[in-house]
Amino acid sequence: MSALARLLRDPWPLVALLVVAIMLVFVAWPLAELARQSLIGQESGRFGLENYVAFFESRYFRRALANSLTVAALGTVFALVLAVPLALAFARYDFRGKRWIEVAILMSMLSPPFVGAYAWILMFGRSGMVREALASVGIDIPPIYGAFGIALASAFGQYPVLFLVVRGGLARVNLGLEEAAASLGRGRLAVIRTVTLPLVLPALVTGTLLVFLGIIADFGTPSILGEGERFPVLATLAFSLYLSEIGAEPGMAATTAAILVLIALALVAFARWLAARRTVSNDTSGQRVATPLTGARGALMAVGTGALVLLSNMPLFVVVGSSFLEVRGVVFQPVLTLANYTNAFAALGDALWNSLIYAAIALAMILVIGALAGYLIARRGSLLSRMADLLIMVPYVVPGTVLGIGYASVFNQPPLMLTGTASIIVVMYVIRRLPYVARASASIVYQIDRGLEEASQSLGVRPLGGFRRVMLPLMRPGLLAGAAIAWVEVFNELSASIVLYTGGTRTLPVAAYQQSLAGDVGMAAAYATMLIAITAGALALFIRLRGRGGEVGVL
Amino acid sequence: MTGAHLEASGIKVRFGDFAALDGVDLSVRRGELVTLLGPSGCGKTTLLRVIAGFQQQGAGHITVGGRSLDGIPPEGRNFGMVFQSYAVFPHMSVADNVAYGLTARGVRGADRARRVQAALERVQLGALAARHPEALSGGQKQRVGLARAMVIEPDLLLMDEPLSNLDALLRIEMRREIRLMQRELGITTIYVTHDQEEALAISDRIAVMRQGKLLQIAPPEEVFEASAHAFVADFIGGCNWFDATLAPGPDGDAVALAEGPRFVLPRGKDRPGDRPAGPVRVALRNEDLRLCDAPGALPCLSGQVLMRAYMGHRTRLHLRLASGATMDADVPSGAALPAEGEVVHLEFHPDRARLFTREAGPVDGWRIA
Repeated sequence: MSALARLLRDPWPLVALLVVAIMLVFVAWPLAELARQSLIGQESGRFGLENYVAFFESRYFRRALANSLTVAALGTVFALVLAVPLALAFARYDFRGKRWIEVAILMSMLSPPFVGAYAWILMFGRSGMVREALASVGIDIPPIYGAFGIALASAFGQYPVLFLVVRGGLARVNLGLEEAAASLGRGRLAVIRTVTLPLVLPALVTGTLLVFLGIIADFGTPSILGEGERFPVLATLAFSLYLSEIGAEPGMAATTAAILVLIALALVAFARWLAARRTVSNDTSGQRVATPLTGARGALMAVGTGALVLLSNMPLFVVVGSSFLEVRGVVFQPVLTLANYTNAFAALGDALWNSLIYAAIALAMILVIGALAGYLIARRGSLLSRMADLLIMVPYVVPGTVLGIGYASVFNQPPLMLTGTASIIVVMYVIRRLPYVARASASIVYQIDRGLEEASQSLGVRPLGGFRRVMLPLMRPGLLAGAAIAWVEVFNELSASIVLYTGGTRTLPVAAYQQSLAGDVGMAAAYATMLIAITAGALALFIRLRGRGGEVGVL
Repeated sequence: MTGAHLEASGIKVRFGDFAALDGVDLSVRRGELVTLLGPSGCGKTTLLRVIAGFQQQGAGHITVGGRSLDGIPPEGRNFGMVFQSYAVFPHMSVADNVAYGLTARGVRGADRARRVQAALERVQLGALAARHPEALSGGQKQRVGLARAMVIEPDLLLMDEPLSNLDALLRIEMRREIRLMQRELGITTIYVTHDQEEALAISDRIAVMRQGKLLQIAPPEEVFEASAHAFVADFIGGCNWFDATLAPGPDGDAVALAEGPRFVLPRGKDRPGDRPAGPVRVALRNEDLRLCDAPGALPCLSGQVLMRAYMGHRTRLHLRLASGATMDADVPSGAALPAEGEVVHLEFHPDRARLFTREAGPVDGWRIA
C-alpha cells in the first residue's frame, strides 16, 4: 500500500500532526517567547536573570507575590470548608430538595468570578448596602476590599469545582470498604478518618489544586476587590506592567507571567508527587448507594446545606436584583426600573454581538478539535498523540493573563499578524478551553469498548468510517457535557480578552468588568445579569440537546 | 474436508521483551472448527487478532484460501468476528447492527432487509429486530453479534471467548447452537477459549497453547487421551502427578513410583520399547483410580481421606498419601464411600498411567514418553 493510500484509509497520524502543529504555534510559541523576554534584561537588554533579580529586589513585586499566595491559600481553605462537608452530605445521603440544592451549587459557576466580587462590593463595599444598613443601627464593619474579601469572593466562585471533584471521588469509594471498617468496630467518624479520607485523597488533592490554580490565575476578582494598584497580585501586576499607559515594562511583565506559570507548574508537580506517593489501587467495585434521610434529620440536612448554598449564591441574587433598581449617584434606591438596561444597551456597542459570535465560533472549533484530540489521546499511543495530549493540557495551568500577554507579543507582526483582530480572541478562546473538551472526549472514549471499532472494521468499514458511524454518536453526550463547561468559560472569559481586545472587539465580560471597575453601578449590574442569563440559557439548551439522563459532568 | 483453508506459518509477535507469539504454525481445513485453548497470556487471543488483522505479526505469513493476508487491513479480509464483550453497537437497533456489514458491501434495500431478517431468524432473534441492545440480555446480545458476523458470509469466522460473559447454563446452550450453525453453514471457524470443557465439546480440533507456543493440535479425544505434553494433560482434565523411575527390562518397561507402586508396561505396537532409563513423571487422572479393599495384583496407592466432595454421580476424595503429598480421586457416589479420616486403597490399571520425561527447553517441560 502506498503511503497516500494508507493515509486515506487511516488519517489519524495526519490529524495528530495537525493538532501538534496548531498547539506548537498557539501554545508553545507564545509561552517560549514570554520565557525569552523574561530572560532579556529590561534595563540592560542582556540575556540573563536580571529581570528575576529585579523582581525579587522590588518590595512592590515581592508584595504582589505574597498577596497572590496569601489570597490563593486563604481562598482554598475557605473553599475546602464549604465544599467538603457538602460533598460528604451529597455523596452519602439522600434528602428532600437535594436536586435543587445541587442546581444552586452549580449556579455559582455560571458567572465570571469578577461578578461575584462586584456583588460583594455592592453588599460590603465602601457604600455597600449591607454595610450601610448595619452602620445605620450602629454596627461598623470594615469594607471588604483586600486579601480577606478576595479570598472570600474567590472561594464562593471556586468551591463548586471542588465539590464536584470530591463528590465524584467519594462516589467511587467502595461501600464495602467502609462497611468492613464499621463491622470491625470503628465508629462513624473513625471510619471517615481511617478509610474514607485516605481513599478520597487523590480527588481532594486534584480539587484543591484546581481551586488554588483558579484563584491564583484569576484577574477580575483581585482587580475589582483589590482596587487595582493598592492590592496587587501577580495576575494584575503582569497586566498593568504590560499595558501601563505610563512606561510599559514588557520584560518585567514577561517575568511576572513566568513566575506565575512556574508557581502553577510547581503546584502541579507537587500534587502529582503527592498523588503518586499516596496512591492506592482504585477498588471501585461496590456500587455506592446514598442513605435516605427522612423526617427531622432529612429536613435538617436540607436546611443546613440549603442555607450554605444560598449564602454562596447571594452575589448572584444581589447582582440580578440590583440591576432592576434605580441608581442615584453610586447608591441603589428601592425603586424598580429598567433604566439600567436601557443605558446598558445604549452603551453596549458590539460587545454582546461580539461575545456571541466569538464564543459560538470558538465552541464549534473546540468541539471538532476536542473530539479528534480526545480520540487520539485515548486510542492512539503514538509519540505524536502523546505530544498533542501534553500540549493541549498546557493552557490548563497557564493563567489567561499570561496567555493574553504571550499572544499580544507574538502575533503582532508577520507572519501571523493577528493583534486587534477577532481571530486572536477566537483562537485564544479555543486554546484556553480545549483541555476541557479534549479531556471529556478522551474520558468517554476510554469508556467505549474497543471491540466496537474492531467489529466495525471486521465488517468491512475503514477506521475513519467507523469513527463517524460508531464512535461519534457514542461520544456525543460526553462532548456536549464538555462543550457546556467550555461555553460557560468561553462566554465569560475575561483575563486574556482584557489584554487582547481593542475597540472593535470588545466582549460582554470586558464591558461588564469595565463598568464594575469604574462606571455606573446600575449598568454594571445590568451587564453582569446579561452574562448570567445568556450563560444559563445556553446551558439549558445544551442539557436539552444532550437528552434524558442529562446531568452535566464537569472535567 | 479438503486441504488447508487457513495456513499460518512462523507467526511471531513481541510486546517489548515479552514474546506473545513465538513461532506459531497453524493450519485449518475448510469447514473446520478449531479452538485455541490455553491459560491467559498464552497468546491465543493475540494469534486470533493477528489473523483478524488487528495485530501486526513481527514475522510469519498467513494465507486464507491461497490468498496472502500480507498488507490487507482488517476491513479488507472479509472475516466475521465475534467478541467477548459482544461489541454490539449500542446506538443502533438489532436490525441495524446486522445490516452494518451489508451496507459496507453495498447491499441495499429489500435484499439487505431479507438477508438481515434471515440472519436474525437463524439466531432466533427474528422478533427482536427493532429492539435496541440495551433491552437485550447478554445471550441475546451475543446472538446479535453472531448474526452480524455471519450475515456477511465471511471466509473465516473468528470468535474471541464469545461465551465467557454468560452464565453457565446459557453457555452450554449457546455453544451447542454455535456448533450446529457452524456445521450447517460449513463455515471455517477459529474459536478462542480458556475453558477446556467448552473446547472439548465444540471443536473438530483443539490447539493447546502456552507461552506463545502451540503445544499440540489434535481432535479433542486425542488431546485428552494422548496428551503430547505434560502441560496439555494437566490443563485438560487435570492430573495427579507422581515422580517415578523407568527401567527397561526383559518383559517391558518397569516403572517404580516414588510413592511405592510398581508396574511393568509390556512392549506392544502402540507402546514401542526402548524408552531411555531414568526419572519420569507419571500422570493419573482422577477417574483412573478405583477403590479396592486391599492391595492386589494391580498397582495400588494408599492414603487418608482428608475431605469428601459430593459432585452428583461421582464423589471426589481428597487424600493424603504416605509421603505427605495430596491427590484427588473421583469414585462413583454410593453407600460404600469411606468416611473422612479413613485410610483407603486406590488401584489403577497400568494402561491408564501416562508417562512423561523431561525434555530440554524452558517451555516444553515434560513430554509423553
